[in-house]
Amino acid sequence: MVNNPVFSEDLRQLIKAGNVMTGLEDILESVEKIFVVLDANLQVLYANPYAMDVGERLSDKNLVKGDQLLDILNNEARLNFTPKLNSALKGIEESGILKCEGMNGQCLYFKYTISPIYTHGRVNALLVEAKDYSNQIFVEQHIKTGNNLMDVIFKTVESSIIILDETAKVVRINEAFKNLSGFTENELLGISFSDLIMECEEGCLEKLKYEAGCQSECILRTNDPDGRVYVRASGKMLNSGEEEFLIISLEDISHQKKLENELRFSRDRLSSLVDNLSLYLWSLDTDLRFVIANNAAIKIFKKSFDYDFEPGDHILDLYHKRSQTDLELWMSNYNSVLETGESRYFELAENFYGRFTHITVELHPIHTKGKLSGISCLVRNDTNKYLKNQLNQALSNFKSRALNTTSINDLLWAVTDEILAHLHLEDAMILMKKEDMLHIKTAHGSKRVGHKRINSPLSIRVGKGVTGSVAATGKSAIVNDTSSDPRYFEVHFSAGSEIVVPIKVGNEVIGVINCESSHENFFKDIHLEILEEVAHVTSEKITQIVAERRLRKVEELNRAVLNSTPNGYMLLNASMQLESFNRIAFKSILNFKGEEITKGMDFRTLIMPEFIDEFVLYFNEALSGKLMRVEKELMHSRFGRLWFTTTFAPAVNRHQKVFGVTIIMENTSKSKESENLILLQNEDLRKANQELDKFVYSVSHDLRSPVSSVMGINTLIGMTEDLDEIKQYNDLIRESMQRMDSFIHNILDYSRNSRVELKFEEANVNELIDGILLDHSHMEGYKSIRIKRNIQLENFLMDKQRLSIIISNLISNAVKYHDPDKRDQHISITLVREDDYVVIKVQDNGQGIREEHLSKLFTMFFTANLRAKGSGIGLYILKETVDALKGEISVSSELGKGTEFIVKLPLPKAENNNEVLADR
Amino acid sequence: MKYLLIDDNPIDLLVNEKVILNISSSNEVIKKQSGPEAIDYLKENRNSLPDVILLDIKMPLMSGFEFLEALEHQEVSLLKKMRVYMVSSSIDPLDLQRSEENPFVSSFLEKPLRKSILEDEFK
Repeated sequence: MVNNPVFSEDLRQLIKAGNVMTGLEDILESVEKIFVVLDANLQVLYANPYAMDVGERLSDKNLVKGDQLLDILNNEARLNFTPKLNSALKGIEESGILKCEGMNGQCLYFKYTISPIYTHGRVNALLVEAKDYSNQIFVEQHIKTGNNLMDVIFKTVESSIIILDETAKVVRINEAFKNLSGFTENELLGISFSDLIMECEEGCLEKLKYEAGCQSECILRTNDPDGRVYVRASGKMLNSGEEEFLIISLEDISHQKKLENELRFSRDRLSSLVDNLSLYLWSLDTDLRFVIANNAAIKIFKKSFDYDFEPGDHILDLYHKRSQTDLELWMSNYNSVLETGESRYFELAENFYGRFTHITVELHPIHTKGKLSGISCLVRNDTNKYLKNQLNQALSNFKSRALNTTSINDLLWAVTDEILAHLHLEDAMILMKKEDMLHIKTAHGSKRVGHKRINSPLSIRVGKGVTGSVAATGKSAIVNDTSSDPRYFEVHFSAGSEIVVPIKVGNEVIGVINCESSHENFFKDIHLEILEEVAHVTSEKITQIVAERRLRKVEELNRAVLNSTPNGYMLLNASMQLESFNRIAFKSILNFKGEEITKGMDFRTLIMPEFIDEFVLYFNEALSGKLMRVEKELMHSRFGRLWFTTTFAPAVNRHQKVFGVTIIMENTSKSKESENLILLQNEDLRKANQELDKFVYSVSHDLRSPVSSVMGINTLIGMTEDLDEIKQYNDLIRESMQRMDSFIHNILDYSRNSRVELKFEEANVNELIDGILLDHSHMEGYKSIRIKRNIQLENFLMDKQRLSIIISNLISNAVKYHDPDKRDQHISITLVREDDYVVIKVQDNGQGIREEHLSKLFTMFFTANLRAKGSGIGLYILKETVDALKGEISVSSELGKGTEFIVKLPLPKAENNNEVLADR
Repeated sequence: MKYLLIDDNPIDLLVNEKVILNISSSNEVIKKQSGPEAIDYLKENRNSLPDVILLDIKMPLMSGFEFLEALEHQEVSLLKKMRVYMVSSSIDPLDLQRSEENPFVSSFLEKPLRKSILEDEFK
């Protein structure tokens, strides 16, 4: 302030007014400048504290009132300063630099001004102002003289220093500046400092000159034409006598500047990011008042809530006009952050721009100096992702529900419930194609009235409207603004946008899925993607259902066929495991094994153990492609003897490859029975034919034999005239005729026995025997035979005719083969009852029968005697007749001794006798 | 000529003997009522064998053909020395066929024997 003339004048004026001590006392007391007022005798009137301090440093005096100023100066200084004071006392203002020597011999310089103070036109006081100028003098001297020590400091100091003269031309630079700028001292000497500056603030140089401690940033050029260097400059003025220097100290801030720029850039980028982010960001203070919000948030506030963002508004102001949000959820989370100081995360559905929007929210506490100062809020619109997740979830729900669906109607409702109902739509429906019309089948939204009901039938012609044209082309369509689409016609409400996806089997459209939203541009790719997938799954499922339905029908028919046959069917796989079977097979196995068969059972466990090896063999044959058939007889506890025909048939697939074996079990008991019957009948027939042949032959012979005999005798009669001889011939003729007659009777008996039904009636045996004996009375030798009778049962129920044949043949046989050589020839007839049998014994002492002939005795036309008297039919008839009565016959004989026949006939039971024995 | 008649029916034996003797009273007739008896006779008379055998087919225990078989086995040389005629009242064509096939049988004659046929055969 030394050079501030205004201050000096003011001060002078103040002193003149006698108020020196009052107004400026405070300033004078604190300033680091010497103020001393002297009277005309150069005695101190006033010295400020700084002056007093200086006085102490120069001498042992401290310049109190009344002290001589000159007393504190050394001799040399006193000599120099006294003339100046005297001059001032004469009214001349003096200034200059005074060199003094201090108490400790140091050299001090003071720059001073002596101003005369006038009172009543006379100088009667002086004001001495002085400042310690030692440093400046010191530096000045060294700048000029290039003092070695200073020079070294100057050159080695790290700060770049540049010294300018009064005209701002470079006087000196130090080493550091050379390094910074790349110039040599010579290149710069005499150059104006302004030429070095590329950029700086206005009045930079003046500021450096006059504002102490002022710093200014500027860009200097360097020796490199493209080079530049950021510096922060601070200046210091130096006065030395007439000359002034500006010492500028430069700090290289290039690096700092670079960092600063980068920082600024990233800050700009960050704020741009924040503003343009699709995230909605805002922050609130602890009173839940808005602090800031990004552009996205401000925009959504306006569009969705009709709220103009204003910092300082309360969060509730946001919902002032429109409040379609879960306010409770929001507020509880805000409060939770305020209470706990911890972040909160939640998600909810909002209605941004009037359409379904799903958002996730992050609330983070803001801490300032360790204290909760607010909440930052970050909202992300993840509707697409949410929809995608939700729809994918719905899709998988739908797929799993579709999996178990067996009717097309259920399937379409599954699409409706699991997919269409989750699309947040006003209307969605499925229409199916029939001929050239699409008919609504299911719907969600305005057309749905119940669980599986729609309120009105809707039909659209194929090709008409968006829906119809999708059905016609088979290509999905999204109409973002239905009011501008010519194909659109209003179905039930004024839709905003629409999506229609065809359901196709192969290339043929069988139906369409139609979704409508009242908002424009509602449908996104995800909708198309999901609906097409749904349509695909639906069509596959429909194909499957139709195929299954057909298959089921075929299966039902097959099963009906299988179950309607009386045969058991079992299908075995190649591992001999049961794959399938029909009802009969099930029942058969249950009956025989007492076991309920199930799929997967091993065939070997199902069959009788004794058949296993054989059946396994057949199974393997069948597996190699051969048809095997086996007949088995089984005993069943309930059904008795059964015949089973088991067929092992190779089971082939569509490619004619054997994959298993079909086993067909046939109960052939009945056919086996009839087969056996036929075999038996055939045997009977064969026997009958054989017998018939033999019979005819024998009959023809036996009948013709007497005839031919008679014819021969007749010839003999023709050859003789002798009456005795003729009479003899006549006897022979009669004998032959008798033979013939007897034979004819036998034949009749035979015929009767085999043809006539049994007829039981009361028989009297004695009467019967009487008649028989009468018939035999004319037989040769009869008269010499004694007949013995022992009849113990005379009257009983029997087939009289047959009983007669039996007794007659027995007697006839005994008579025929009597032994004429024996003296007492006899036949004894015995008839007794044994239990329920009547036993007839006829015993003779005739010729007897060779043992070897006994077995053939009862065969037709067999005669055991060389000189046979019969045709050999009698005993045969006897046997047959006994058989007819279910009786038994036995014979015992000894050649030459005699024969005994025993016939045992069952007596019929008293009641229903006819039926019992008639059933044969 | 010596004839051996084999027949179980004595009436037929008598009738046939008369017919043969009626052709020529010089004819000698031997009658046997069964095959075994005839074989016994032939064996006993192998030096004065009959020229002709009239053999009944149907006889008990041993039929005419069985007789031939038995004789063939026992004394085929004897059999070869005689002319054998099968005689039967049978009209069974099987008998005729068997007669024709048997190498020892000269012919089949039907009962009753007729004089004219015998005269033609045994001239």
